[in-house]
Amino acid sequence: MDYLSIASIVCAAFAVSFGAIGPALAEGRAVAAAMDAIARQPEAANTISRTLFVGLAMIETTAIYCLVISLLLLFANPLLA
Amino acid sequence: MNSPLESAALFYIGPVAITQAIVMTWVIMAVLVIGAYLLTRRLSLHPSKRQVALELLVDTLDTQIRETTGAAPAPYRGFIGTLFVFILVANWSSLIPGVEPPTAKLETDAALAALVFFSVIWFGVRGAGVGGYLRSFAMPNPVMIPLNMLESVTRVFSMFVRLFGNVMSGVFVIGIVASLAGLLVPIPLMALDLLTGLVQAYIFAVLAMVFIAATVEEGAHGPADPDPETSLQKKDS
Amino acid sequence: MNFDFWGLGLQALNAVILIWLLSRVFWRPVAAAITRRQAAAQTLLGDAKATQDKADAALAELTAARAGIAAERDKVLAEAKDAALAIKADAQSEAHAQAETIMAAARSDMAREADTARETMNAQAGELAVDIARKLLGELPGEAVQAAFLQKLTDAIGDLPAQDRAALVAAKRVDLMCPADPSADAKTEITSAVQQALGEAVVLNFVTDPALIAGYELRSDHFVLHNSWQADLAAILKEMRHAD
Repeated sequence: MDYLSIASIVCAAFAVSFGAIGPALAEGRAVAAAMDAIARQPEAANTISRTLFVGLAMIETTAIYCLVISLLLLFANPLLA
Repeated sequence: MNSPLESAALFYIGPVAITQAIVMTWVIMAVLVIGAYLLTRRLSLHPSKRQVALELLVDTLDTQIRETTGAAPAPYRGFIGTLFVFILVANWSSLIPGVEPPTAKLETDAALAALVFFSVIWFGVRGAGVGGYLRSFAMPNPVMIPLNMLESVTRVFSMFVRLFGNVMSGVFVIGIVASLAGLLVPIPLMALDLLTGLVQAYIFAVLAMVFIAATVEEGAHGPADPDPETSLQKKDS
Repeated sequence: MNFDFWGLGLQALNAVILIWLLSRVFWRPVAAAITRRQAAAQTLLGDAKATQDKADAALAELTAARAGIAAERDKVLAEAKDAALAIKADAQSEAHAQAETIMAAARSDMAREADTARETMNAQAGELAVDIARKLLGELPGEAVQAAFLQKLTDAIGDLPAQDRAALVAAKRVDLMCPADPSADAKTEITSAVQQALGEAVVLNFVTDPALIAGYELRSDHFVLHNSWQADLAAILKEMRHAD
């Protein structure tokens, strides 16, 4: 197996794993803050949870970016073409 | 395993390769238009349950647009609403076995993002004039012109990749799990996919609305919040 | 990876067509329906408001009319009360006045009757007294009384003012009234006494009048000298009447 292929696979795995760490921490903080806000103001729970979902999707997008990069490395690697 | 980034052509019409996503888009279009036609055939002053549901949908959309932009929702209703409905139906079409949602393909998402890009220009020129639209690049100050121009492309590219990545990853993961573990195992992932599809459709529509509104406002009145993400937060909080 | 720009264009076209179709078929009709219903609801609300206003106005009118009726009733009652009071007062005052008139008339009648009765009684009493006196005096001895009266006559002539005496003297005929026909001696005696008192010679024409009871009186055409019981009694009677 070509070392380029090995490097691509390893890099794809790194991209996904490290790309998951940041969004995981960020989502944890966002959910904690949202819980705090809901505990303080239960009457605003609807708005807060809607904003939380949108925000979580936004944060998750960074992980998706990493996934896309890893897929590009795996399936559309210009060096392997 | 097939690459999720590629799509095989079913047949060709001239130079245009007709893929499964395009056919699926046509199906969705037909279903939506015929369904809408059937649903809106008999609208009256004394609404049936069906009409009440439709009006609730439109009213909710209007409320969202008004809360996001503070403008009258009528000009944007068709564009934003259709974007949301089409992306939602496309995302959820993955529930049908053997169907790959068109939004899981690069071309469809790129086309939607390009539509948003051009609609920002269209609504910006329509709302503030050509000068107003061009002035919106100089907000908050002329130093920002190159960054704003770059941002106007990258934000729609971000939308494109976000929508594509989410839907495609959902379909991809479900495919992998189904091929590895069996028939019923991916059901929780499919449920998660439903939620993701709804949220992504909502985000896509809201972001399009925010971009349009920001451009119109900046062109007409001066500086508004140029950052779509903070605008979104400000709206929702 | 192959990015198909034909596919992108086709999908964009599809999306534009879908947006157009849905705008025509879905968004605009539903929004129009919403607007129409809102307008209808507004119209209905306006109608309801108008009807409500009308009803309120009618109610207010009714209330005002009722209040007017009550006020009118009060007024009529008050008027009737006033009229009754006035009639009562009139009747009372009239009755008072009539009673006063009747009482006054009765009082005056009584007073007049009493006066008349007293006068009559006085007159009767006076006449009775005069009769009694006349009878009593008639029983007195005539000669002595006549002599006393002659003396009184001469004194009275002496007391007369000169003018009267001259008038008496100048009179052509002087009547001397006597209660009874005097004798010749008495006539001469009287004539001499009178002449002596007058100081002039007068012709005395003796006239008999029993009404004098007693006494002598001189009468000429212009002059009367009372000197008799009759005159005295008449004077007393007159005084008694005046005293009332």
